[in-house]
Amino acid sequence: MKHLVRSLHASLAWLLVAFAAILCSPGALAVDKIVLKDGTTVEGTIVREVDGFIWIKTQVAGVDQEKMFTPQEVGSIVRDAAAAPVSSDPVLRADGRPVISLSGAPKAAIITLGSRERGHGDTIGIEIQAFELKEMIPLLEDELGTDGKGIVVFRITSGGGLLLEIQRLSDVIQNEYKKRFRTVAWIDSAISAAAMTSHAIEEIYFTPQGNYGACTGYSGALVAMKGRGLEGVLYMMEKISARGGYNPMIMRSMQIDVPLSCTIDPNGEVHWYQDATSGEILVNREKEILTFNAETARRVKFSRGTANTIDELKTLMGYKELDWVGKKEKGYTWPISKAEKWNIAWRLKVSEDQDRLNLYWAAFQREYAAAASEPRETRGRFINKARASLNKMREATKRNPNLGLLEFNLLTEEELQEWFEAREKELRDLMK
Amino acid sequence: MIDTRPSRFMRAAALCVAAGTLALCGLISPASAQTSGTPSAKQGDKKEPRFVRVIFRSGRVIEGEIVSESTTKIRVKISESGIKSEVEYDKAEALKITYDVKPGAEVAPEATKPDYTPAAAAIPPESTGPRKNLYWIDLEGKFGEEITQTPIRDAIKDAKKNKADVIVLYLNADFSQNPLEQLPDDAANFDEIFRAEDIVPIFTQEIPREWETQPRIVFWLRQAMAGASLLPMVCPEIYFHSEGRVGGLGNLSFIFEGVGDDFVREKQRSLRLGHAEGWVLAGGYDYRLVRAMARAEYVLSVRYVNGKPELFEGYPTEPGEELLTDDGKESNIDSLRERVTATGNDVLTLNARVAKLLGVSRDTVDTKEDLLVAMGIDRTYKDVPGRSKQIMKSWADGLSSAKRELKKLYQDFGDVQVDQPDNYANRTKARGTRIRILEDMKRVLRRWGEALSRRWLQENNIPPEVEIDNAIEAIKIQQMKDRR
Repeated sequence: MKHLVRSLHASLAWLLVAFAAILCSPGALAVDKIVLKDGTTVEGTIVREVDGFIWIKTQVAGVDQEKMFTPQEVGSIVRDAAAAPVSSDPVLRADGRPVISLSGAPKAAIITLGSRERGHGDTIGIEIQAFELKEMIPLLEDELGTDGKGIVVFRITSGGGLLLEIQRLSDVIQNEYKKRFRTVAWIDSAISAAAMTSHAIEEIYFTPQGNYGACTGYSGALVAMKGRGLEGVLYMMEKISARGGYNPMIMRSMQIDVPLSCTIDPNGEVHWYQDATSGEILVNREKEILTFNAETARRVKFSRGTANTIDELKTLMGYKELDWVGKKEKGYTWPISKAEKWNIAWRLKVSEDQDRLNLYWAAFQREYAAAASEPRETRGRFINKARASLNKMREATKRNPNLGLLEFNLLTEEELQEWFEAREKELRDLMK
Repeated sequence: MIDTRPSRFMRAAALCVAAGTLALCGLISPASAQTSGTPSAKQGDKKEPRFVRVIFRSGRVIEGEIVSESTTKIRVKISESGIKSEVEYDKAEALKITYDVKPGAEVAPEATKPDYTPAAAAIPPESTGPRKNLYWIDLEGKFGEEITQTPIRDAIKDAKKNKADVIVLYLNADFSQNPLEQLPDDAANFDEIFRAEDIVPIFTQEIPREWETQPRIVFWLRQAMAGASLLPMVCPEIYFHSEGRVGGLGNLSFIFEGVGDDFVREKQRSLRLGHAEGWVLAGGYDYRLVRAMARAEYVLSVRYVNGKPELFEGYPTEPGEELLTDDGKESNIDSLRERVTATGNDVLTLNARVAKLLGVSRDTVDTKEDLLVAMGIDRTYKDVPGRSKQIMKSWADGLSSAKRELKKLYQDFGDVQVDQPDNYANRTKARGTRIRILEDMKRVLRRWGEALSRRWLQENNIPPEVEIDNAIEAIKIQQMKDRR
């Protein structure tokens, strides 16, 4: 009971903070209107404007959503008369900090999340992690600036991965990247957890070969996630859908076998239906799981367009010029920024760790057994080898704590540390 | 894994037996079943009569109005000596069928092309102009083994070195379970598309990135089944050999059957289809083609609008529309006869005729000369003396030798004997020999690993590299523990 009261107090406090924040927000009561070239009108509060790109906060079914429109999409803007005019220079970013207008083309960086190259790694939660994204932020700010004009394009090539990493990745994208950069997803292949991660990003483009979906959770021999666990993931993805501004029905049809159809009205607005017949376009059939390709995603306006090269992407994003930061490197289609260079190296190392962790563990066990079978005076060299193997494991799991969960079923970093300490003690005991 | 879907055939047979009419199976034509049972989606549309010219292998030419058409037959209203009649022709007897001809007009030189292949439509004919350097690559052998990324990449590099303007890849991938038995159209291995994904970036990423002037890439197809089917589909310019076939993906609806939960199996099918559709779209083709090639329950038909093929989901309802694949259910399940004769329509296999009708193939040609004519470069091309033949041969020979070497190394490893086991030097020498053999295995695996299938490795007990490392470390520990 005491706990409940404390929770209620905490909730009330949060509500108060949130309410106060709304009252203090400069544009809280403003109703701005953006009339798109296709006739659609979007009402809400304009929260950011950069080079003709407009971010507007709207509410859909009581849930706040932020939508972004390119200069090519916007027909006219009707600003709320009572609100302070939003000047073009300087403007306020979503976090309230001023954006400094710089001359020249905006800077952009490609950050790959996964790769088709063998051994380069593409698993969410292993080679694609919230940790990695956080580590890159200072490097990206160094290269793209902190004026809010920088663009980060996540080029996503992943067949999925660990459920536990999705929320973490989504949080970093939502709370760190989207506040600092125009954040874009360029889908090469986003299957399962990779699609669920990308779903927090409003602005999605596809490569011609791109695919996106098949988000059904399962374990072992294709045993579906069920009951409360499934309900929890469905709910998580409803919230992440709101972050990206997507109708939650889309992700639901990617997660479970429910049909989906839609109708695009004369104003270009897409209306979604969780059945196979209400909409004019059948998006997902009965008893199937949805995976978009570039064509189906573009047709229902899930994708903003299809680009094979960074030049094509630049045009789709509404720019005549972009300054893609980084150096041309052999074997890469786009310039490699410092952040991307770090990213590739980290991913390679983590991928190697993943491959070799079992080897290190086997080596440790063998060396430990060898030491134990030796007389005390000759154990030292085996113990040294065992300790070296243990250190390799420690480094690998330090770089990627999820390996501890995957390989040793250790849920937290504390458990992992305790496990290492126990192994160290075993080695010390052998020397006694 | 090759799936020849015995369970589906058994299901078909069981259904027929249950009805007590085995013979009926062969009589129920999917097309007739559909026209009677399916409501017309476009009942209000009155179609203009469509004319056709059929040139038969015998040399006979007929022209007339199409009355009806199926995959194998065409019924035409013709007029001979002033007498009008309707005659049904077997398409197999036709050398060429030209649609939407004006009665009495000359045969149009250009075949019909789909309007959904923008990339294909952009390539101009080149009957005049400066000489074009033509580089030729033969892709023959097993897909994923002889036909694999390293030699293809090397050949493409050689083409660049030779300043090729046009690269022709003749693809005739072996599709057999053993050297004596070619697999039929209804054999399938969808998952081999993931092997193709190691190769396609050469065409979709590397050439666009590394060639300043983009070469014209042409695939000439003799056989591209299972994983090999995806390879040419990433390129917009394809020609078929008259015996050409592209397919072998038809087991997707049955993949993982009996394992786990329904919608997880569906997830697996959906993501696989997403991959395959993506590559087909990258080549500028309609993704629904690959869906029809892969999913037995998918119904796809084609109609011709202004001479251009237009795919639509569902059954034909108008004359001139052609069913490509039915729903593969109940009476629509392909009969044994249809499967044996490759005339079934549960899933789509592109042959020369269908590929051309659908605009996937620009033309059907059986010789290099005909191909160059079809490409419009017969008068302007110049063969460049590339090394592609040596590159492909040297890879194939090397692979064959690598397989033999691995088998021998495995055998040698087991054969290492220690003379006088009580002698420390002999034990040390034996361990050294074992480590050397294991290192040699690693070397061969690194060089040839891309072409050694998991199945081959398992059948021959060749461990993965990480296990070899483990074994080497274990031997080193034994050595450390050993005493003189």
